[in-house]
Formats: sequence, structure tokens, C-alpha cells
Amino acid sequence: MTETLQGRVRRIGAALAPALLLLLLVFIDLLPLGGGRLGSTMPLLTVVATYYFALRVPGAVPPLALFAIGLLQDALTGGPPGLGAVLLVGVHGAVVSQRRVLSRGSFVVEWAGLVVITLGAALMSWVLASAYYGAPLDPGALAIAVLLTLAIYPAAVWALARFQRRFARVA
Amino acid sequence: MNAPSGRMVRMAAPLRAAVQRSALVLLIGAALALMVIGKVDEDLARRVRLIATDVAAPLLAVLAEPVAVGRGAVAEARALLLLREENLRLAAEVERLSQWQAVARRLEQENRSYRELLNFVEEPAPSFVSARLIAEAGGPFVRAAIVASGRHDGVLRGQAVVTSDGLVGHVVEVGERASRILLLTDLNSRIPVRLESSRFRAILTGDNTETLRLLFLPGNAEIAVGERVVTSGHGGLLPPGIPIGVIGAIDDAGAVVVPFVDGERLEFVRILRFEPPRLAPGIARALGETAASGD
Repeated sequence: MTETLQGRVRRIGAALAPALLLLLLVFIDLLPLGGGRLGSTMPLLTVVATYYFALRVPGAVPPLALFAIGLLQDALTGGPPGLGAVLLVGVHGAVVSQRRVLSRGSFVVEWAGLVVITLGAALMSWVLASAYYGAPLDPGALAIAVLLTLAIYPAAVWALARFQRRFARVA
Repeated sequence: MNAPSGRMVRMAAPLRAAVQRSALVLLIGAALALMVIGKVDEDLARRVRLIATDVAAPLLAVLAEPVAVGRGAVAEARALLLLREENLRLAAEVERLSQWQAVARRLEQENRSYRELLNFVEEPAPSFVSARLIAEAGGPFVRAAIVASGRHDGVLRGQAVVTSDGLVGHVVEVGERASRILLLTDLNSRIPVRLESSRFRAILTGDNTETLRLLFLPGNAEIAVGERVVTSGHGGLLPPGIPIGVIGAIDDAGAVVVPFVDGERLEFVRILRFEPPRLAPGIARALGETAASGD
């Protein structure tokens, strides 16, 4: 049976949806929400989505797409070029290597996995950023970002699961 | 086509896993290499950032619109809730400022006569471009913002960015339609400042936190909590006298400055088109002649 053009467009759109969502999250991370004085701290939304897709929808966002999205994030935030790419590809790699353990456990295990992987990723990015700028950076903003990331995970899972169901139905 | 044998499948799975692992290692290696390249060739990294910012600016502007509406609604609701308190505060402020107005008028008159006596060359008042904030790179390692005005609107690198409260930062990258502002609080921000009353000069730096630090204060400088910090104008990039903040604390490492600008109200900013004052023609001519005779 030959696939109609509309069907093919929908299928390709559904396949690209997770990567496009991550791209949108890069932009949402940059929105001027105006919290605090001169520069608010946002949760690491792209890390949450990368963790979720790597764990629950393997292959939804290929590492090359994560690399490109990380680079775009660095270019837009003005941070060290390559740092975002290391972070996202690193999180993806860590989840893939531990998927058996993380996916068989309960939601608490999944959340604990996020805690461990996010803390590891944050530590790694802090070391790399400090090396890049040539001075140990204040870890306060990063600590807040990590705490926010961990706190929003249940809500993020709910939203991402709805999103996933929607694009799975289309595909 | 024959179905793959069980042996082939057993061999293919570890092979695929090894290829995937190698791909991840390669990508992480490439990202680390990009970090090194970005550090060595900062101009290249800046050009890439500019292209990305210019391309993303229209989308950022669209996404920032509903956020601005939401922030406006929250501010409006808060103002309504605090209407009575705000009214009382404003009445007290009007009374205090009326007294200051009389003093300011007298001082302005006095200043004018002194300037006429000394034949003082007036500094040109800077013109400005009003720009809308469309992104705030509030990442853990950077304090920057993107505004929807660029070279097309006359924005230049190094120009000061202010609000009615005081200095926000300065322009570090200028695209065709968007520019990047390095906020005062960023680790890489260095602003020449002066303490308003004691007139001591220093360098104000950010450290990615919400406060700022004073560096290179003279050893004999007497600093006090509550003293205002303003731009000194040294270096010729920023106009002198722009309010920045107030000394909030003094510790072993020096003085901590709390910026005046409130991030919650940061929606529109002014980019100052400041030209440093030129030397009076006579002095410039004399200096030119001295330089020529020295050659």
C-alpha cells in the first residue's frame, strides 16, 4: 500500500516532534521572565526533556540532534561554545547506559536517576565552564537551576507524556 | 530475502552498541574541541553567536510578546493590591522631592554661572535608542540579554544600556536587527566607577550572582554602607554619572554593591549613543603639534 503525501508529512512531523520540542525549550529557557535582579535562573528544561526521551522513547532524539541543539543553546545564551552540547549528549549517554536499571524501577527510581545524572552533569559543566573562564565560578545559580530542574520533573513528565502520546498517535 | 540468523543478530547487537558508544564519545570530543576553538578564536565564536542571535531574534520576539503581556498583568494586579500603600509612599516622596527641587534649581543656577566663568566645555547629552528585551540568558554561567535593536537602528558595540533606575550593562555584540547585552552581574562585566560622595574610583565587577563587587579601590578609600556607585566615564565608553547601585555590605573581600535596576521591571531599555567629549580645538591643535615635533 502506497503512503499518501499527507500521511508521509504527518509521519515525518511526528518523528521530528521530540527534537523540535527540545528546540522550543531552548527558546523558552531564554524568555525574559524577569525574576530576581538582572538575570533570572531557569530550570534546565532541555536536560529534563533529554532525560525523558532517552529513557522512555529511545531513539526519539538522536545524539547528533542533541549536539546541534546544545550548540544552538550555547550560541543564544552566549555561554562557552560546546558546553550545552557536552551536557545534552552526556545526559543522553548516561541514561542510555543505565536504561535497564532506570526503566524497570518505579517513578521514584526514575526521579533518583535524574538526581544523580543531573548532579553529575552540573558538576561536569561547572568544571568545564570554570576552566573556560579561568576562574572557579559561583555555583549558586547552578545549584538553584539544578534544584528547579529536579522539582519540576513530575510536572514535566506529565506534560511530556501527553506530548509523546499525541505524536505517537499521529505516527 | 532470508531472515537474519540468530548468530548474526547476537553479533549485530553488541556491534551496534559499540558504534553508538563511539558516536557519543566522538560528539562529546567534538563539543570539547569546539570549546577550545571558541576560547582560542573568540572572534569566530562571537561571529557565530551573532548569526544565531540575528536568525533567532524574530522567533524570540514573538515568544516574548505573551510573556510581556503576562508580566504586565501581574504588575497591574500587584499595583492594584498595593494602591493605598503606594499612594501614601508617593505623597511622602513628592513632599521630599519638592524640597530637593528647590535645592536642585539653586545648584543648577550656581553651576551655570560657574561654567560661564570658567568657559567650561559642555559634554553633549547622549541620544538613545529604546529597545525591547526579547531574551534573557539567565543561565548558570552567563548573565546576558538580547534586545530587538541592532546595527540597523544605530546600535554600536560598547554602548551603555540603561533604564530609569540606572545602568543595566553594555552592548557586547551587535547584529543587524538584534544585539546582545552583557549585564552588570555577569562574570565578565568590568565597569569603571566612582563612589558618588567620596569620589574614589574603582572597577565594578559581576560574579554571576545578584550583587556586584568593587575592585581596585585605593588603599586609603573610606567606604560606607549606603554610598551610591556611579559610572566614572573613564575609558570613554560610558557616560559619567549613570547610577549603578548602592554599597550594601563590606566584608573581607571588599564592598558588595546592590544594583538599582530591578530585573522584574526589565522590559524596555535605552541604549545610549554616547560620544566621549572631544578636546577643545586649541588644546587638540597644541597636542597635535607636540606629537608632530616629537616624531
